[in-house]
Amino acid sequence: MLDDVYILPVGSRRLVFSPWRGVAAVVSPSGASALAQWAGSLVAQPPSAGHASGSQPRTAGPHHGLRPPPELAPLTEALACPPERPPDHQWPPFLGLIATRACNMACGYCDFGGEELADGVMKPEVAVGAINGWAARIRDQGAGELNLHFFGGEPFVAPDLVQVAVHRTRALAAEAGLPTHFEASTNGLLDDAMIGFAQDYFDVLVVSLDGQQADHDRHRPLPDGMGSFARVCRTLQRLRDGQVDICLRCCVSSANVEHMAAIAEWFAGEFQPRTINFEPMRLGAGCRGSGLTAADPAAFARGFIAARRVARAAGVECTFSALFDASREGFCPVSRGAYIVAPNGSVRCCYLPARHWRDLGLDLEIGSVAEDGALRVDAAAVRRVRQLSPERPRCHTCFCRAGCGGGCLAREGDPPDAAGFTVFCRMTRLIQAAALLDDLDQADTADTVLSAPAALAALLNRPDDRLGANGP
Amino acid sequence: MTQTPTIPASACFRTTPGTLWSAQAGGVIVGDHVRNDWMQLAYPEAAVWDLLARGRSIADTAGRVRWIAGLSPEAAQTLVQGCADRWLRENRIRQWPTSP
Repeated sequence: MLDDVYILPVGSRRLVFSPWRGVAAVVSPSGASALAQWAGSLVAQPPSAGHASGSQPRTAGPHHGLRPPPELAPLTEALACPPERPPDHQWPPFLGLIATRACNMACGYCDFGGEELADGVMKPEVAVGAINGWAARIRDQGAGELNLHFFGGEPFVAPDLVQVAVHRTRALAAEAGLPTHFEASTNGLLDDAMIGFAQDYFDVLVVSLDGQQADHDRHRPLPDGMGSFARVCRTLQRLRDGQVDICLRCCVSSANVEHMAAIAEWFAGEFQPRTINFEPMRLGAGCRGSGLTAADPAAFARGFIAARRVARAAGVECTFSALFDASREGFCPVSRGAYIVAPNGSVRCCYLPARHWRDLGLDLEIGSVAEDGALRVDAAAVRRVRQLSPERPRCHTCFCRAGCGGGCLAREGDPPDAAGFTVFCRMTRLIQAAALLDDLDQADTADTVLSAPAALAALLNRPDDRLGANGP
Repeated sequence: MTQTPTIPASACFRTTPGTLWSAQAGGVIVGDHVRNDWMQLAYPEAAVWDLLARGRSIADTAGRVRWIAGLSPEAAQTLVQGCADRWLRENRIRQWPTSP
């Protein structure tokens, strides 16, 4: 069996997917049977030395297995090639600074408050110590870039810290001859001075906007209860004309799930973002009392695919964190071993408040910035943390594994169903299958998968997606 | 010999009319396209320019440049004062009454 080739029922057809070989195809049930027989006849060989995907078994060429039907020959030739996973270009992939947990919005679903709010704004010596140690590490690797991300709370309520960190990074990059990349996740309530600074120095701003005025203000009011929509739009209108790439991030609840396609159309026309990112609202402590409820997984999946089609027609890419992206394994900074520094100087691989993962018995801390400004990271802790994601049993046979990487470790709230899938798994499976079908010009089949009860059930109740595991 | 009076630490500045600047890899470039007079500033002067040109006071700028350049507070103050004095004389910035 080829462990990284998946086959899925999509209506009356079968979808073949091997992410790291770049293979996706639709075949008939009989073609799927022939493919499974061919795959079962292959002789596994040990991995070759030096290959980027050393953990994946290479297979013999097609001449070592059954001869496939001629119409499947192009597919079997592609599947007989070794998978190519993206290499780790550099480690850590980025440095994240949680400038502060404070925020000037009062979003109905936010659960970022708590004890870390008391740590206030990160001290400049903590930021500079982290940047110095991280930049030295990247410089010593002889290549790469200084890729700095800001998280919050709202990072731009700490403008001094942001300015110091950006300039310190640029100064070190100039010394070492390294390129830089600056990115921030923001609520969009930037004053004119910080809009100007962001336009001059940032490469990407991820701005949260949850739709048009009614939806956005319902989700993301100001602390005084007034809406924040007009101010965020003003920021975006100013940023639109600059060099910084805008990613619009839309959180989806039951309130705006039916508006996703309209939101994508409006975003693309009004702000010309580089990407539009839709993520489902998670039911956390922050939702209590707000009246907000989570979107139905199938409704979210249908909304996402509709939005993706609209956005693509306008030349804008639509993203969902768990959707497969050939440039990376999983979306979670934990599995990638990122350095993320909290306001108190602790270094972890996750940007969520520590109680989110501690409550689940996880330790994602990997080091600290000491009082003398030295960045100390425990390499063994990083290895331990990076291994956490692939240990989830339910992922080992799921076709979404390459894209979601097991999902978010710190938000494993909803219980798995009989097939082992959580709500997030279910929406990811629907979206991934439909997106692959769309990319294969099989939009009608994608619509069937998303809306026909039997097709939905067949996809969602499948315990093992691997080729040959379930029959055709 | 007359000594240039020290610019007060609370002083803020704006770029003079006609002065353009932009960030580029390794620093900033500052110039006047009418006079065709351009200068490239590397770090730490690039950070001093950026902060002063955005209306930060001498004191505010020195407080940040201290961390950006790894200087003592006194050395940062001296660096910022020196830059401001030079750019005033070169007519690239002018003093502004209040901080924004």
